Amino acid sequence: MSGIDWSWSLKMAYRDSRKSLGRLFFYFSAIILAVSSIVAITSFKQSFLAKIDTEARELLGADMVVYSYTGFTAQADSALQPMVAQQTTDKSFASMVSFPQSDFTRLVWVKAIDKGFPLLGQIQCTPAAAIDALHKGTGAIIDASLLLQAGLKVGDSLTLGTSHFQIAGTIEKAPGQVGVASMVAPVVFIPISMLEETGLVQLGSRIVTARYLTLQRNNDQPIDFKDNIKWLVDNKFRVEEVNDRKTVIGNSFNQLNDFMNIIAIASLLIGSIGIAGAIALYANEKLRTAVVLKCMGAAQESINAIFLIQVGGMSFLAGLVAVLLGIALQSYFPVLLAQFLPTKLELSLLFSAMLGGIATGMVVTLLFAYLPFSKLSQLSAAQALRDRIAPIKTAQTKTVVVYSLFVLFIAFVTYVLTDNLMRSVIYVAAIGTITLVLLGIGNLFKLFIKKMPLLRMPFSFRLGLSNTSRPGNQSNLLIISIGLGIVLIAVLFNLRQMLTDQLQISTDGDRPNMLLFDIQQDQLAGVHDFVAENKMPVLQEVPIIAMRLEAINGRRREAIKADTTSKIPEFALDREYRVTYRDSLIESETLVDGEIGKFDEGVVYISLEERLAEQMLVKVGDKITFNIQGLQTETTIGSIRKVDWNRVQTNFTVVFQTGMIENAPKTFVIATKSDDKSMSAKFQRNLIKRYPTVSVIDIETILKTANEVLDQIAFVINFMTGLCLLTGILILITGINLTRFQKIKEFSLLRTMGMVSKQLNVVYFTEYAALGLIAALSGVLFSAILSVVLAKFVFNIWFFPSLIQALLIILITAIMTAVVGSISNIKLLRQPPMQILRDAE
Amino acid sequence: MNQKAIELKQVSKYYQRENDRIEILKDISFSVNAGDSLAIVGPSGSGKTTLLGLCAGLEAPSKGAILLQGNDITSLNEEGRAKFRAHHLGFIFQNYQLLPTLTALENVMVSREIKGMPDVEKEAKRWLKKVGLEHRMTHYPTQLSGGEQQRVAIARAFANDPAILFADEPTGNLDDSMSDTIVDLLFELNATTGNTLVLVTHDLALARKTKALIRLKNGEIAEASYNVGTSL
Repeated sequence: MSGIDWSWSLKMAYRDSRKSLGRLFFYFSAIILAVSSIVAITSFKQSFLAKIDTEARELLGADMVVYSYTGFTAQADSALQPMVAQQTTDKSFASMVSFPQSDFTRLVWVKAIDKGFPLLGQIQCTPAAAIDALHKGTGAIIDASLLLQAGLKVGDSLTLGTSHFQIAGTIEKAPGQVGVASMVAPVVFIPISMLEETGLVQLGSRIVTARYLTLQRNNDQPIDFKDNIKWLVDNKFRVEEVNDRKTVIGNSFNQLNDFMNIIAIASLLIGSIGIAGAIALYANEKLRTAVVLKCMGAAQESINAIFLIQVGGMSFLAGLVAVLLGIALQSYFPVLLAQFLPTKLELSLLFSAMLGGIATGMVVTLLFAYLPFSKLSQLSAAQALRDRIAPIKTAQTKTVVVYSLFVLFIAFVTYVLTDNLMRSVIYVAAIGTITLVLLGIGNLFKLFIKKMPLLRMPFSFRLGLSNTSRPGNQSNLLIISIGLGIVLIAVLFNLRQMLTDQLQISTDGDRPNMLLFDIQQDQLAGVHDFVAENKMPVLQEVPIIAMRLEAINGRRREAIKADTTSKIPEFALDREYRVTYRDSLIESETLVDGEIGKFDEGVVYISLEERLAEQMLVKVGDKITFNIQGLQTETTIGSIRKVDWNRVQTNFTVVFQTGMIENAPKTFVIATKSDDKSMSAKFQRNLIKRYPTVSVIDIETILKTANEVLDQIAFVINFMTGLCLLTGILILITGINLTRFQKIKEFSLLRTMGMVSKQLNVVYFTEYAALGLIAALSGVLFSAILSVVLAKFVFNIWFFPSLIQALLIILITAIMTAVVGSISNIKLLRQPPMQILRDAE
Repeated sequence: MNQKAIELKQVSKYYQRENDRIEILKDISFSVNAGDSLAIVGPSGSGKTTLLGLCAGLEAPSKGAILLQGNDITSLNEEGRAKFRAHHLGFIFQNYQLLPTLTALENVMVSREIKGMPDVEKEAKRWLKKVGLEHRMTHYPTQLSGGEQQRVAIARAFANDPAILFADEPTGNLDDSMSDTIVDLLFELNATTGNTLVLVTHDLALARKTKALIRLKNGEIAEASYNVGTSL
């Protein structure tokens, strides 16, 4: 025979694998799980982006929305008029709502809408007729979570300012609504016709007026009203177009998607290492077959073809299964991510994601098949005459090439997932570093076991520990897969702890835990008295004045924006600045440069927050001009401050020196503290009754909201990390199956020598518990280091992970690994040694 | 004069390990006529199995020439030798070396398939019937006893109609009564087919059944005896 006899190789591949198809397929389970999560993520991402693309107008509710804090002047209407085909206006603002039937109060985002809202798309509510009740002016539609928090039902009532509304229904989806935002401030829709009656619209109220527009079209294409839009922007209106909304939604989705990507990449890495080990051992099992066939005169190419067909075919099959599993997973994602999605997603099967999944599985498998199967070509047919096939060393260059190609492939998959070269390099480097460190720990552990004087230990323990460093054991693989999973989970736990700790710490001692805001000048004395009546302290009273930026160092805002080389971000130029005035630093501030409280005749000094100064590219002595409600005021930067934004108190990017802007229209914030939860709720209820326009935010609400958001995110990430850990468990079971032949001999020997099941159980429990322990310990240590670094450099706090939590993770992991490992060996324990030996032949 | 089935000319085999040369076989020369049988005996480590491997073209000698059926197999590369084995040689191993994932019938079929012979299944069944295993055709090696496995191996070896049959300790793993059965079967089939038989054995009783015998010691021929038609 010469060349490849494909028909014979195909026949042989089938014959040789049919009895072990199940086992062979199981070897691929780890990669199946990894590939399925990649298929699910890519397919979900593509469906999501495609959906956003087609529904962007409906999500915005219009072709364009123009926002203003000051309302629309006749000039603005003139600028808008030529553009408009249809329009509707809404007004929205933060306010307290109270529910008399349950005595519950809560800060909400009120959206007063007109009949025309939305111009495109629709408000989905339950019951559907609720929207009609709203437009008739008799009802309000509220966020479903708010109804739940208030402990009420549709048909009950709520109080906004001085008006009462019947709760007509709950919002399912509405243009502009994303779940997370509504968790912070749940939305209440009311008819705009009832807004005045609430008494919440007063001078100084921070109300956003939004004008929703559908644009004039030419041959069904929107006309580009560049000049009109420029006029609006130059006159401090914020303009949001369909593409802006797409970017905003895309960005928030990408952040969540990034978490999922990291976990999917980690799973792929673990799965790939798993498949590498599985194929190496599978190839070892096939050495004898290869030698016999070679001895009988089969051509080397045909022998190679047999195993190529087996591995290639199986990886294709595994890819198909992964795709099916990925599709099933993807259909679960919209449920999992419901809170984060602005629209309902239908299941769509994307050919590219499916093909990508199959290709990923095949590339990884065939890449790792190359090394072990290349050994087959080096086998001498004379080995058929020997009992034992002599080990063949793989050339180091071949190994380096294969692993380099693997790293490149992982980087490529990461790039496809993240669509960002820098990010994919960082992810691969981070995961690669953790993997290498875990590999090092695994090797050190095995070395330690080899060198450790174990002689004094009971035999079963000693044997169990020695097993971990036995050649061919999957110890390193287990340590990497479980360790990596633990790192991800523990960092997540720690991040959560960090955020809640920080909120808790920020209200310790005499620090405020409640902020009363939007207090009008004429309400200030009354609110002071009310706080005192409730035996609560006024810890801070802060005036707030709204203004906009006009120029930096004499260069007008419009000129800076028009300059394409300018690095000053647009939001720094366009935003409304809410500033205060004082001559000293407060607890959350540190002076970085200049002098605070400086006074010079004719100069208005301000103090800028460090990051804002960096964004504006300014330093002490530079000049910034503000428009303070129509009055142009040139200021000089007197100092630059660092601000700890994580405190529950009023922090400011811009602070004016005293004596300069006190006469401008302003509102006040009062910071106070209540140590009693029930008193605090009563205080809020009564305050809102007396001062309906004043809003309250308390630490309980922040903590609760933060926890709700974290719960949602944690659920998603835990789900994905669970997949990653499941990959680890599958590797554990696969590894045990792969080393079964080795174990069978050992089992039979120990059994023959009289070892009872109890002792054998101790041997295997010790082996897997030790591996689980070292993996969890490494993972927890790594996560602790990462968490401390994250805490210091991202949150600027000192954080030490909970020791109890760490111990629990370590203990649970060690026990779980030991139990899964022991259960996988249980079949052997139940059989007599001879039977085991016969099966192994 | 009979055609020579096997001819070895000053064959040596050695391995180089760092600075040491380990000599396994030294200047071995002999020939076997077609249709004759030869036993190679000797203590463990004397080089019996290596000699068998060289004769069968399973590996190349370090020095010397080996001619099988008049073809110098030392001039062939690995692929050429494999092709030669598929067409002219058959093997029986001490550990049977059946492919564990194939049934008895398929194990026998493989040798004809590799050679590209016709009537693969029919002939495989005929040979299994000859060795008395017609009722075990669909069984896997693990479901067969040692004697049965060796009979499958014999059927496999004869099924591709080899000119030369090599047997490495064919009864080494069997008890006495099973050994006798296997030996009888082996020589009976050998007589029927007329092929050349070369076997390596520790069993002197078995060795005496062959026409010629070579005793190896420390990689050299220590003793050679022969009957008609076999030149040593």
